[in-house]
Amino acid sequence: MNDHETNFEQNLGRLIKASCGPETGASPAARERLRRELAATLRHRLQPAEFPATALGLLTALVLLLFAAWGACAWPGAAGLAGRLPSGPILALVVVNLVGIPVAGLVIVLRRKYA
Amino acid sequence: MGSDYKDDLDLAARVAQGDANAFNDFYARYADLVFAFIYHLLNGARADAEEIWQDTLVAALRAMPGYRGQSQLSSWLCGIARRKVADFHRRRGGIREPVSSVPPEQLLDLMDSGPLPDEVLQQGEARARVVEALAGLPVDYRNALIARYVDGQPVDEVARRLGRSYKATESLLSRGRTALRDLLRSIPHEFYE
Repeated sequence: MNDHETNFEQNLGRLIKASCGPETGASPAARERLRRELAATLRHRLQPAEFPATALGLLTALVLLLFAAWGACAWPGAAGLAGRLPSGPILALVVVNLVGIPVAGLVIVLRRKYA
Repeated sequence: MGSDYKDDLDLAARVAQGDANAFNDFYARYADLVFAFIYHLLNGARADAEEIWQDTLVAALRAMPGYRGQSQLSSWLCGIARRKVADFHRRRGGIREPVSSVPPEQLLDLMDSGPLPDEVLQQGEARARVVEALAGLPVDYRNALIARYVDGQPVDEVARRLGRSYKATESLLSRGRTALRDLLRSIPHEFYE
């Protein structure tokens, strides 16, 4: 081993010792905290992303209602019925569906991907 | 890498899938080194280092499904830690202690030419660079170097601990030193400015 190599080895040893000595370790309390936090993160990551069943049921009901109202209006045998149906609530139903469906889809995708 | 994993990507993929053994291996391999890295970047501010350590590893775990093996896992982790430390300094008003780290080539020249001056040994940036380089070494090299230089064990004791012959351990240490030198040279200096 030449002088360069000897110097390099000795200096490397000193640097490694200074860099990774026992004083550079985290406290037991911090370790414990980290372990807990990482375990919780991992658990959360692995949970299957779900969409709340009640919200899903409500959205389905809204869609069905919309189709029912739409069908009632479009049915030729019930020409008079269309005129008697209140237009305000039907419009509200249409708007809720138009907004709710894409929002729900987006929520489901985001939860699946980034939960 | 140990024999259980093909490479960093394999380890990261298994951790991301929730493999408990892979997670334990990942933790054993990198958690302490990441802490030492942050600790040195903060010049020994332990409480802050512990907080950033937690943020770093939690962020890494969350981002792990997106790890594509574009760099070593150790470099990727040090990159996250470096950003967390930078965020910390920004939150604290953007004031940082002036850095006077020695560029990699100069550090290696100094290491070759004689005893390293104490002020270089004391530099957080120089120490952080060594930790980053150590984290990038294959596990057997790293374990051998740490046993030899941190625990201060003679070569025959390191050999016994690693279950290798004296000659094989000497060779392992020599290859470890060479690999560490290469890694020290390859870490961009601007990371520490």
